[in-house]
Formats: sequence, C-alpha cells, structure tokens
Amino acid sequence: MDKTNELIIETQNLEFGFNKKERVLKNINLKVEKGCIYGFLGPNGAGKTTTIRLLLGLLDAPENSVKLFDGKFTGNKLEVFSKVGSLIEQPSLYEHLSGYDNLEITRSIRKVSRKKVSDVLELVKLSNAAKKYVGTYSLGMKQRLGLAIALIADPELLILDEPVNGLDPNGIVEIRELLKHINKELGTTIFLSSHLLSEIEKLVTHIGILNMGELVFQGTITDLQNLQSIQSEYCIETNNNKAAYELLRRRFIVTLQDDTLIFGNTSNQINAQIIRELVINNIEIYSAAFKTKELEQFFLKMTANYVVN
Amino acid sequence: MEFIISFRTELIKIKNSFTLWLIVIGSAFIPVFFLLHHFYEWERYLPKPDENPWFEYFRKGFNGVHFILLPMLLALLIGLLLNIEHKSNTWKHIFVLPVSKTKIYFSKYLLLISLIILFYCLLLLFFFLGALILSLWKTEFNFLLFKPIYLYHSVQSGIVGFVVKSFISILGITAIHFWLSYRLKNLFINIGIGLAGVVLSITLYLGKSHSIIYFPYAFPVMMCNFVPDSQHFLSDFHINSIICFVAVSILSYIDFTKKFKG
Repeated sequence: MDKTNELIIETQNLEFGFNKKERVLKNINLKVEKGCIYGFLGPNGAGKTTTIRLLLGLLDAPENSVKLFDGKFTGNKLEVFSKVGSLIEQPSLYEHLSGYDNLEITRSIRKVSRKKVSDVLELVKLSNAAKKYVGTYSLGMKQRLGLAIALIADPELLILDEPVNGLDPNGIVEIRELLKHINKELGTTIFLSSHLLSEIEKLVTHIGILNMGELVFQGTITDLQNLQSIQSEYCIETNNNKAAYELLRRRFIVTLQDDTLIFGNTSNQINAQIIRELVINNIEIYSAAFKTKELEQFFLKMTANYVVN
Repeated sequence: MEFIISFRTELIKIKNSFTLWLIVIGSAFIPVFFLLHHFYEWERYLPKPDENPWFEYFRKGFNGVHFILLPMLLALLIGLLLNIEHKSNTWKHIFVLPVSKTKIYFSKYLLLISLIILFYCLLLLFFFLGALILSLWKTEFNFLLFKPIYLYHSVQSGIVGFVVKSFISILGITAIHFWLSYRLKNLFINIGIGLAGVVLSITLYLGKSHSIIYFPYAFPVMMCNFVPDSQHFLSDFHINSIICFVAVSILSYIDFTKKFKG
C-alpha cells in the first residue's frame, strides 16, 4: 500500500484472546487508507467480528495497538464515534418501534437535522415502510435500516460487519451499488467484512484476508489477482495417470484428481523437469496447461491451506 | 443538553412496549381490587360516625401494595426496561454512539425513577377515585367529609409524606435490580431473584426477625401497618434503604462505565 496516504484504520501487532491460553487474533497489522473500500475477508470464526469490536472499543485492545483517523483523536472516544458509522453483526434494531423511531434515536444523539431521517430512508428505499414496526420487516429491510442508521450522520468511516449476510442476490446488488455510491459521492471510507469473496470482490478496492486469527493477505484487489495468477495450478493429463502419479509424487507436490495430475507451486524449470520425467518413462502426455482458479476458489484455498500449513 | 437528548431517546424506546402498561395495570390493581371488595363487603368497611375513613382505607390499601405487589412489580418493571436493549441486541449500538456511558447510565436511571414516581401518582389517583366512587355510592363512607390522612397507632402522617417513605423503602431494591437487569440478559432470572427476595422478606417479617432492617427486599414489606415515627421522618430501615441505594448505585455505575460491554 502507498504509505503516503492517510490511514483511517491502523492496527499495530494487534493481539487478542478471550482467555490467556487461546489467542483469537495474532499480530494483526491492518492498514486502511482514507477513501478506500476495504474488504475484510475470512471464514466464519476467523476473528473478523472480534477485530471489528476491538476497532470500535467494544472489546479492550492492548494499548496503542489500534489507531483510528491517524491517531488524531486519541483519548477522545466520543469524537471518534461522531465520525464513525457502524453495523455490527446483525443490525441492532428496536423491533417494537417503527423504522422512523429507530432512526430518530440515533439522529437525536448524533445531533443531525430531522431532514436526514427522510434522506437516508429515501437512500435505502425504505420511505414507504418508515412507519411500520421493524418487527414486521424482512431481513433485507432490516439490513437496509441498519445501514441507514449507520449513514445518518454522513460518517467519514463506515464499519460494516457482514452487511450483505442473508440477503438475496438482488439485495446484495442493491447494497453494493449503495456503498459504491456513498464511497464515490461522499468520499466515505468503508471497511466491511464478509466470509464470501464473491459477495464483495466487485465492490472493494482493497482486501485483507484473515484466517485463524492471522492476516494472511493484505493489499489491493489487483495484488490479489496477481498472486492468484502466480499460484495457478499446472495440470497434466497422460495415458497412464496412476503410473505418472506414482512416478512423480515423491519429488513434486502433486495430486491426482479426476484423471488429471495437478501440480501446485511450480515454476517453468519445475514444469520442464516434470515433462522430461514423463517422456523418459514413456508416459504419453495428452495435455499440459495452467489452470487459473476463480478468485473465490483461490480465497478458499488460501484460507483452507493455511490451516494445514 | 446532551443528557436531555439521551433521556428523550430512552422515552422513545418505551413507546409500544409493555413497560407503560405495567405501570398503569400495576398501579390500578390494588385500588380496583380494594374497591370491589368494598362493594361486596361494604358493611364491614363502613366507618363509625365521626371517624376519619381514610385511616383504614389507606392502611389496608397500602398493605396490599407493600406486601407482595411492590417488590415483584419493581423486579418486573426494571427487568423489562433494561431488557429492551438485551432483546434488541442494541448495547453494542449505543456504546458506539457519541454519547458517554455516564449519560446513558443516568438517563436510564432517571427514566426508571420517573416511572416509579408515575406509578405512585397513579396509585394515589386510583385510590382517590375509588374513595370518590364509594362516597357517591354510599355517603356513609364519609370520604368527602374528612382530610385524606394516614394514621396508625395514633401517629399520623400526611399521605404525601407516607408515599415518600414508601418510595424510600423501595430504593434499595431498585438499585439492586437495576444492576442485575443490565448484567443479566434473562428476564426470568431477575424475576426469580425478586420472588426469592419477597419470600425471604415475608418469612423474616412474619418471624419478627430483628435482622429484617438489613434486608432490602423486606423494606417495602415493613411499610405494612407502618407506625410513623413521631420524632423522626425516617425510620432505621428507610435510612438503610438509602444507604443500600447509594452504595449499590455507585458500584453498578463503576461496573457499567468501566467493565460492561453489552
């Protein structure tokens, strides 16, 4: 990442555990630049929500390990909260109140004009349901209301925990377009978590991948795509895959899947060696090619492999 | 100003909730029951000529309020009030708003105290309405001829003074249940603790135990057949209730602002 850009979120060697024995987060160094849309990815239980709770002070982080807004408001939590809108896990809503009243509670505390209530309701397309009890809302409507509450004071930073969780494809597209719009028009920095890359890869500019409490990747979406192409698999089909597998498995990282030999972490030299070995041993090669995985598969492999390693 | 805003948001939160209904139903319960009992056994309740009917009316009426209703009503009211945040999963939301935990704590506490005062106002109103209905039904009840005064064992107290003492007697339980209610998500545990407290306090009361003045749940029960102290406005258990209220409130405030994360 470009170090000259202002960092809205920065964590330094952030560690956390709910007890002394087990570390939920290990040495997390997040760097979220101003104006970006940062996707915080990881499988369920990776530590995403814990990280978000630490960022927001809902859990006690070790001293000086979390810095928001470049540390400008250190020691002044309320000043930080006035610039942050958040949606943590499922939306926090009073189901016995109307959508309007839910917004009114946050509006009063954030001291913004009453007009903002109708503005954000319009923005999330809930104007017609504003007077209905939230208990009657669908999950998608609740998510949108939660988002409206987070957006009501035009925050500089929006922290969203799984904002598209449980939404149907149309709902996902709507939220995605809304967040893009907010980021572009208002310059809001957005930090959002998800356990599915496919849900957010079309939205985010930067990505951090968390697995088992460790940040296994951080960079731009282009950086991730480059890494993906580097880590493509080399696939070979032969006239006798079983014999080829037995021949090569001691010297190379190879798996036999659906009549295809799949080699991971190869290079041009290694690929040449593999071909030479097969030719020398009279095994006919039908095809040899790189197989580029979908970004989602790559993400899954990254998080799954990490457990093994 | 910020405190007023925070208090206003607490008022919005009890809209459409059972909390307000509980206050209305709770305050009407004993006066209505008492009125019906007067209708059925009116001869038993008729005062002697020249006897102030309010003495017995208030004593018996408030005995019903203090004996079981008040501690259980408080446990339920406080539990319901704070359960709004637990049920809606909103602690985490309000703790990331630009408002201090101190203001959140005191605005919730002020709302609770306001609701309890509302309960007492409605309770008195329903008692007066009951007396008025009885007087209109049978003039021999004489309620309109005498000043409404609480008197027992020849010691009298203005009815407002008596209600203030009743209010002070519940401060200890109020503080305890306020702390329990934001710490315990399960409303039934709160009510269970309240019920256990009531059973124990009645046991102490009926057993005439001396240690009853140190048990907060027993303080409202001690307002039954209360003999006002002619020398001092407050009795020992009232002072203990205030001490309990202040001590528990300080501890719960520290816990809320320093440790409680929702």
